[in-house]
Amino acid sequence: MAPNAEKRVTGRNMSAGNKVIELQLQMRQNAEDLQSYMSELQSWETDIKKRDEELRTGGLQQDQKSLPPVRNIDYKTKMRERKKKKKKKEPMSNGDAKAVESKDASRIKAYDYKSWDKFDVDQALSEMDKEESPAESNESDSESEADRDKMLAEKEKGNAFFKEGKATAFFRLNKYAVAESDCNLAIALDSNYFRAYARRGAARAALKKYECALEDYEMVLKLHPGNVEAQNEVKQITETLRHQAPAVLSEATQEAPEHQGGQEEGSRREEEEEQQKRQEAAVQKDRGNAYFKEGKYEAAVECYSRGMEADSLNVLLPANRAMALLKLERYKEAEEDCTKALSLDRTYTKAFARRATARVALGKLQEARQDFLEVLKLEPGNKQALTELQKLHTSAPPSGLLQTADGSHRRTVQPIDKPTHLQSAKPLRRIEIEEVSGEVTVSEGESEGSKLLIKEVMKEAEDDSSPLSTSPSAKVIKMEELADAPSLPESNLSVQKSFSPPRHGAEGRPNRQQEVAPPPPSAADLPPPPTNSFQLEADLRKLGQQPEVIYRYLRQVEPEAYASIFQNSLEPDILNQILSTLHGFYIKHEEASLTLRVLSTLASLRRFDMAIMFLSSPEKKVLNELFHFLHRAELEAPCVAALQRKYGV
Amino acid sequence: MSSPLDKPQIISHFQKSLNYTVFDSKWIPCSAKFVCLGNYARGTGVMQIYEVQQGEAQLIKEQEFPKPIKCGTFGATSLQQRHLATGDFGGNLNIWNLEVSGTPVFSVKAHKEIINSIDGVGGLGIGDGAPEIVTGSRDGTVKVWDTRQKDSPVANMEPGEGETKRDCWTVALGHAFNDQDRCVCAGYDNGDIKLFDLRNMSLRWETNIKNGVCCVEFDRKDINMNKLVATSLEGKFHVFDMRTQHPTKGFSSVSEKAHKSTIWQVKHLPQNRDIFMTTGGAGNLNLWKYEYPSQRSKTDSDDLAVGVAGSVTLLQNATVSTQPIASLDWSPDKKGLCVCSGFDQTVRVLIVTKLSQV
Repeated sequence: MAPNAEKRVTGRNMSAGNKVIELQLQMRQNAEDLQSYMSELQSWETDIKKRDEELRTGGLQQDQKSLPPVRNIDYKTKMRERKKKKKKKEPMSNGDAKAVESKDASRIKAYDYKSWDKFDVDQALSEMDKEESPAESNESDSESEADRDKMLAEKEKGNAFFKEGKATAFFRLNKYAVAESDCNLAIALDSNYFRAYARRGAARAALKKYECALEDYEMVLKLHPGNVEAQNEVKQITETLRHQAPAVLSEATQEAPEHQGGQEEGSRREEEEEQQKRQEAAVQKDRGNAYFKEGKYEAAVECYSRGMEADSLNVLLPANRAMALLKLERYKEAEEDCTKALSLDRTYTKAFARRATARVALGKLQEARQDFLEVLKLEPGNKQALTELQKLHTSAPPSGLLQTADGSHRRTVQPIDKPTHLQSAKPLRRIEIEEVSGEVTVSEGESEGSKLLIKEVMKEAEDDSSPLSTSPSAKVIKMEELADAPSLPESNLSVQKSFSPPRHGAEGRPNRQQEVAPPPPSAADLPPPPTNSFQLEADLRKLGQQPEVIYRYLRQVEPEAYASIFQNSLEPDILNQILSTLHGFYIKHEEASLTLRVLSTLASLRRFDMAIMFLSSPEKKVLNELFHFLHRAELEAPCVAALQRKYGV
Repeated sequence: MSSPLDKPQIISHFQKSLNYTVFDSKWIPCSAKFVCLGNYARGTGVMQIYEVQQGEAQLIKEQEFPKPIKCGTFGATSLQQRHLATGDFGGNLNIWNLEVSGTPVFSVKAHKEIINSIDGVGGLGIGDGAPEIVTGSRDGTVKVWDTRQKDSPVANMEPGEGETKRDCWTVALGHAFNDQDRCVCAGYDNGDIKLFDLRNMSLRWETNIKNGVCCVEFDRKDINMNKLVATSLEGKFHVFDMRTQHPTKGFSSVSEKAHKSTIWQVKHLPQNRDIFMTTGGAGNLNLWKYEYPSQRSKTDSDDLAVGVAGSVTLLQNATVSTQPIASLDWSPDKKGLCVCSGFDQTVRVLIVTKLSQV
């Protein structure tokens, strides 16, 4: 290296020399990069270990996002079901039936074409037929289980069932005539299938073919004695027929006296109205259920509400509305609805379960627990209640659903956007930002530790420039307001004053620009003595054009320490800066022997000879004056003279 | 100034000799620890956890298993749990809680033969949707697993009856930018690359790069497919631009001859998706940067969009061993830190500097 450098200095081979210097520069930079990376790595290591420990001890909590269902679950259960159906005779175990049932009810995604291909229309229809509350899927209970078994049994009736199912669909669409003909077909296929009769009866009743309807319902009762629905319908139809007869009669005679009417008529009409209302409520409930199945919860809520208006005693309406409200995350209203339902029927388990869910969401954990216990009392072994209770038990009391959600946002600072006239008129204060990531090391007071800290800060600044960088954000940034900290040492304050630019005076707000400008380094943030040339260089650059601060900074360095700081990389610039500081301040403030010690240490450095060659004439003048000063100080003359020769002046 | 010194430097921070063959090494997310998976000479499997401590690797934990472990991933676990999913020579997929030794938290006989490759998505906050694990095996099948379903895979990609079963060497998950979309890419020993769309449950694209596919990786798992790098047995790698798919031409790509030997691995820098490292069969590492073209797609004569591939430039290369480097993993937490292991029974922690400047 050295001969090459000489070559450049003598200027014999300029281009090659340049290249070599460049190379050297590069190598040095690389070494420094690596060095800074290593020290950074160390601080990262402590940081990440702290975070790791926090994770392991469960200190860091992430909010749980709700996961989408297991992929292809619909597809698979359908397949499984198909297989099961093929083996018709094999009795289905209860557990399986439950599982299939609950999965069945989950909606097939629109994009899931394969599953749609496999979608079993008859089965969907049969499910519609069940006239069940929409939230069946959420709770696997004995009710649905029973339905399941019933359905499977019915399913075996095959085609007849399908026709009947189709009829149901048409019935829903108010195409009663079509429904009737479908029922006819179904009956033709299976003359013992009472449901088809019932359906046809309903269709005929709607078509006002009351006699035929009556016949159908009687057939149902024959096939299935004790069918409550049919019994009711028969009663109703006979009544209607009785009404109709006099009406027709009166129409025919035009003048039929209505004396038998009177009170009887009134009460009957009332009853009829009530019946109508109840029917209306049932219709609204069905419509609501349909909306619910489609996921249109708002519409479902509306339907249920209308149904409740029509019939306030139906327990299913408030309970179902509660479910829809739960889906809409309107927990408060859901809770109220459940309470309403429970006031109508204290034994309705689902209402308890739903209220509990709502209460969990509202953070009323104690009450939720009560509700779940109630569920278990009514229905021992209810899975949902058991798991939920366990969850309530394990989760610490204050971690309600909503609270965790809040917690995840706790650390985000929202930007404030205020128009100028609303902004505070108070003058802006400077806020000192102090990094405390390296806290531990700093508190030890080791220069090593503080060095780490500084590098950290510099690295941070560098990172800001590249948008892709992601530094772990475990560091806590502590802010201190200067004005609010009167405990600042007196001496520091005075230093600060001496450097701060003259104030603008009281009039008007201080110039913002000025406030933002980097604060003049005070004694408070005087960098610690450097341990290597890189740091020294960086510090000097940071201190910039403030000779006095540089002086204070350099004074911290023991003269002999320069040897270890520079090792073999003395830059002319730095040498210059040291010399001018010696000249500017040491002569005035320090003993001559100190200056001599500094100069002799510098002279013993390896690249000193080269650095000296770069001195310009004003710089040489500075040196001259320094030596002049040394001579005057009457130190050992030979020593000084030898040094002077080394410095070439 | 384009001297080699101006570029990122690859420096071996420290290395640790091991007494077993190490197949895979992975950083444990959010820690200074990494885990090594391998095979004792006596035919049993081993998992070791090391922690970086001031330029040294300190062994924290060790566990031995009946079957050698081929591969592992943290891709489908939450940051709280940090469970490691592993695939072994017997075709078993196991998920381990690293805090507790003993039995796995999830275990399934996933394949009939060795699981060559494993990948996960949906965990660690990377990728939307449910956490899922994909495994590729010598038995020719690629299976997707959801830990909520214990007994069977949620998707199974296998050759049809009568087709020859190719050895699946590598799998990668990607395209998980919402709850539904997700893609699996698989590479086979005959050079086939197949891209399966899990949303539609269909094969979206396939191609053949002539030589066995050693490793495939998406540049990011949690975005709309952007780039895919596939490395091959004969020392070439291909970078596919995955944004534009032409109905007949598929995805456009650029290929580069990199190492004079097999390229065992490719890994994208977690902090910059356009930089990736390839590891070669002669123990060398190449650091690459992908540059996008000025326009990423153009329309052809039929008015169909066709992608335009960019170019790759070599940033740095270094030789750290004489044996193949079979695995490499960038630290997700510290830019420029990576761990690699080779068939010289050594695990190395490397430092790559100046990554923010390229």
